[in-house]
Amino acid sequence: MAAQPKPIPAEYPSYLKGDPIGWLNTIDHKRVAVLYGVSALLFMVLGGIEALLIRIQLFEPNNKFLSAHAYNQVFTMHGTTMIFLVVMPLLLGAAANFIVPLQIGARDVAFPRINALSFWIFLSGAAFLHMGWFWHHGGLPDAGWFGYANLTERQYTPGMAIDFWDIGLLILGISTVLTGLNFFTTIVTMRAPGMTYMRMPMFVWSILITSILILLAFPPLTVGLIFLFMDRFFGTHYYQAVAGATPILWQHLFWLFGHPEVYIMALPAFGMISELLPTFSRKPLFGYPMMVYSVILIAFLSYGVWGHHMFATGMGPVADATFAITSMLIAIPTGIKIFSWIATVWGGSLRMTTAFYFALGFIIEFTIGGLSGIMHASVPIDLQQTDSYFVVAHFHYVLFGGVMFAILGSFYYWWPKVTGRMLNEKLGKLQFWLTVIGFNGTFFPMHFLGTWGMPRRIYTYGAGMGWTFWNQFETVSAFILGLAFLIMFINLLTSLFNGEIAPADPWDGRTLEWSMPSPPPAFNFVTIPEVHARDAFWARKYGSTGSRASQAPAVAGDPPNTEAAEHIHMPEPSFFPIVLAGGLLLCGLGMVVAWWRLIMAGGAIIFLSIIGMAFQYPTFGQKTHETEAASGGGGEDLRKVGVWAFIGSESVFFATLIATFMVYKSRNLGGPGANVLEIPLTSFSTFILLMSSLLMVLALAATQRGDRVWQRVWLCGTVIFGLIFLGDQAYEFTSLYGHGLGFTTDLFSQCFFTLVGFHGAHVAIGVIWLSVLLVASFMDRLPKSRALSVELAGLYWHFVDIVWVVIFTLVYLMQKVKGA
Amino acid sequence: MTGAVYITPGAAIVVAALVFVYAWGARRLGGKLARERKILFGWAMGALLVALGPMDVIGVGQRLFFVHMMEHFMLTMVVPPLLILGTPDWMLRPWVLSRPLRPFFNLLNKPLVAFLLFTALFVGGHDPLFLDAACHNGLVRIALHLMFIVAGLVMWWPIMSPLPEFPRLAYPYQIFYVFLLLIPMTAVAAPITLAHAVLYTWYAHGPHPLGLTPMEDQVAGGLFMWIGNGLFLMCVFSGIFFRWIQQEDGNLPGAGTPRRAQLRVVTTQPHARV
Repeated sequence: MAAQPKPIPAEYPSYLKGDPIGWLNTIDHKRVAVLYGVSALLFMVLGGIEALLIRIQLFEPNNKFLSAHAYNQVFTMHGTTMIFLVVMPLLLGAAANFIVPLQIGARDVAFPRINALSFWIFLSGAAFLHMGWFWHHGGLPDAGWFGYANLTERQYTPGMAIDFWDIGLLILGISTVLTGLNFFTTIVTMRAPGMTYMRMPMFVWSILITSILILLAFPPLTVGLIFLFMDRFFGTHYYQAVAGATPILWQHLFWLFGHPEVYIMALPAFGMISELLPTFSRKPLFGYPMMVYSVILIAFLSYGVWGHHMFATGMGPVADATFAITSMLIAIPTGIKIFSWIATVWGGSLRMTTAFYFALGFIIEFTIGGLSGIMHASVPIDLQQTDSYFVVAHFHYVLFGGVMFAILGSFYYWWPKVTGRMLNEKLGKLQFWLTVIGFNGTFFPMHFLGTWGMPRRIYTYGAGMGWTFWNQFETVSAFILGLAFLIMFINLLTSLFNGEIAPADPWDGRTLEWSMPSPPPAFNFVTIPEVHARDAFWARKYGSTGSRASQAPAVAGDPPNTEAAEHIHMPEPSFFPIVLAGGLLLCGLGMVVAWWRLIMAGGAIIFLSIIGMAFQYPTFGQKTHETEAASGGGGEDLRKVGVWAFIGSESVFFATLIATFMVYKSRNLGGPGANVLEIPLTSFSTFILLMSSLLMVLALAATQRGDRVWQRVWLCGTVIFGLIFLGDQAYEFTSLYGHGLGFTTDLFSQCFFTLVGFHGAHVAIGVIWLSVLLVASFMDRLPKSRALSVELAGLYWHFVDIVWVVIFTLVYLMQKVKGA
Repeated sequence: MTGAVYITPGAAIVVAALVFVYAWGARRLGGKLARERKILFGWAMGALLVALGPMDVIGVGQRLFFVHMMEHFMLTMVVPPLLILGTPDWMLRPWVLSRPLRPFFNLLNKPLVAFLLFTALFVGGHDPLFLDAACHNGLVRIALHLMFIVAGLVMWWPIMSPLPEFPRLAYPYQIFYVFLLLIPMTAVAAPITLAHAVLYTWYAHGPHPLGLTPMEDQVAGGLFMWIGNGLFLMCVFSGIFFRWIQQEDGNLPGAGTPRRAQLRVVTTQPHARV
């Protein structure tokens, strides 16, 4: 369409320019992405060293290089680091953060400050995981990345290491959920005009589905970690068979998170490959609709397969068969993807770059991992393979051969866009071949070793087992793999200082990020592009998506439009994210060392930062957002979408708590059980809460018609009713204690207090939120035009009410009826 | 199992009443009743007759739990969509848009309300308290089963509504809605499948046909709900997805070219007619 070559506007400085302090308070998605990338690469070095330590220890039988305890710490931290601190931040924090807004034609993510907050919370969580080093009774976590109960209970693993692991993962979970919330909202509401869902690049699709997976899969992990926290600190018995509980509960919660987690890591990698292959084959992605379909189908299925991690726990033949069937079904959408990728390359005019090498390597290595995955779905075979090196081989083929190959390919692909410099192709190809040799040499023999019975997680093996040769072979290969990464780091560093300057569109790309200069200016697009086709930039260059026309492409870049550039309002930088994350770190530390003042200090910092953020209104495009939302995302306001996504995630959180209550309620009743619950009192509470919802509706109506007086009256009423509910609950709890129903009395009481207590905490948060609105109202900062702020608080308030109705029915009424 | 009466009076009365209302509505309102509509309505009635008749007799009368669960599947997943498809918009409009009923239907048309209502009715209806009562008493059972049909109608309405006044959800939201429906299904099926004891007293006693123990029967029922419903919803999702693609492809450039030609990837005869 653009026939005239247009010069790249040089007058806009790249996002990398600016003073160094700007990296601490930045909320630019590209800078946040770079921060994520750099920290993840540092952790990759750490995790890689841990991997090499494992291989050195296993080099010969009865090796004394590491003690059994040190070995446990090393393999635990290798797994935890690689999953939470390397792969997820690289895929989501770095790649998605940088690329998604550029690909959908947006200026930033939906909530830029929350994006920065995600990063700083991630960093404090990552630091937290490693803090055990600095304590005498500490040490690193040593219960495996899966942290199986009841190994993690205080009586079996005393020290502080598991405390650091538990709270560290909770902190990381907050960061990940915020990221998921952000990307979901960004993709739903901020697409450029004309970019319908079916025109989104495949990478954006995979991040959209991944965000949904994050929002719905992390709550079970959070609940599991909270239970563990309570067991370790408050003396509950969520995972202790002595008290009638079952340690298997942890496995259910963990794998209910853990299997979707596999796809949280795999889907973005699939998306990357779906970008790389078409670009270097110069053909559109084969079967785009089927690719989208299979991504959604994988997400659908991923919630019904967690049990295949637990075949060996004795769930019984029925459950085993169910999970086997659902697990095998996943092979169908995955197969669709593999064949579509092959068909994309088939008949294309290929450009054999390093990025393309890695993408092709991905298809082969990932398929090997997929095939051994199908073996695991078969129960009798899995029972033989469980806890052997065969499993280690399988998931490394998926996570390294699959995900890591995609990440490495993407490095070569998107590096020019991020830094403005090219990577060295010769070094790249050397790295590729060393990676292939080292990777297969390390992990393929593990299939044999596993079949011969070598157990995983054991720090050494006997000389007579016949495993020595292949272990030595693997260790040598692992060092070759390490060498490959060394070459990559050399390549990255030399490119930063010496690399060839990258043009805007070095690969003849298909998507919008290649239409802007490398590196892009801080505000991305001067004018928001209009999208008329899938592969939007390709269509702009060549006129149609499918043609392989050899006409020269128009030079990339937006037309220089200084007038438009002056009107771009970018968000103000903010120090609140980094301060808040610091508060979270202090809070967690206070919990582990049981120092109340530290917890209070951290809590105060968190609280004040949140209030500060609430009142630091973003100057960032109220106007631009509204117009963008109206044109691209179906007219929904992004804050509303964000709150809905948050409510969805919260629903899973409460569903998990309620399910645990239902399972545990009638087990091991040492205390009075449901008999002491007071229906009249709680009926009154229920009534009060329902009435408060009504007042909330009135407050919103008053705001919408601009009635300040009644707005204050109804808001005040809602707050007071919320406080009455909380007071009722406090009275109820003390009276229950008086009747002998203490927090740790039995399984019923601990589940009851956890569930109802967490609901109470949500009511308290709602009351604080409404109080902030009330203050804003008295400061005259809540006019008609900000009715949405009241509406959002209202949504949350109604949600909390609905949860209470469910709790009241299931926990109070039903238990009373059945008890009577 | 032979010799039993498979068409129960309850089934006959319900079906007769529905057919009567349908015929009366068609005559009274006098709109054009397309042949496909009649056929679909006929299918709905057939499915209803099978569910409330033989399935009920075998599932409850002869104490085969898994057949009873199949009956519930028919009542919530098969009969309601067929009923909606079989009823023309002009037959519904006077009811749905009438002054006293319209606010009520407005509320039901909200997907969240529909989802929560269906979840509450479906999950609650499978509580041993109600299900056992229904097994012991034919009238309670008819009431429970009618409630399942109503719950199914409420659930399917937001994605199948034939009335332009109550527009269907947009396709991406339809997909999300179907995804949400996995929750009530799993919430009922998982506890039944994984239970360590027979949950419903009706099925704990009495002789069982087919040589199944009550426990095996319960597991089969739970599994049918879990996998059967899951696969069914997956098919529904697929249907919605490909309709969505069709709609979006219509907006792409070159939409006028024959669709089948797009399927040809590599062709040795570029000018061959498809």
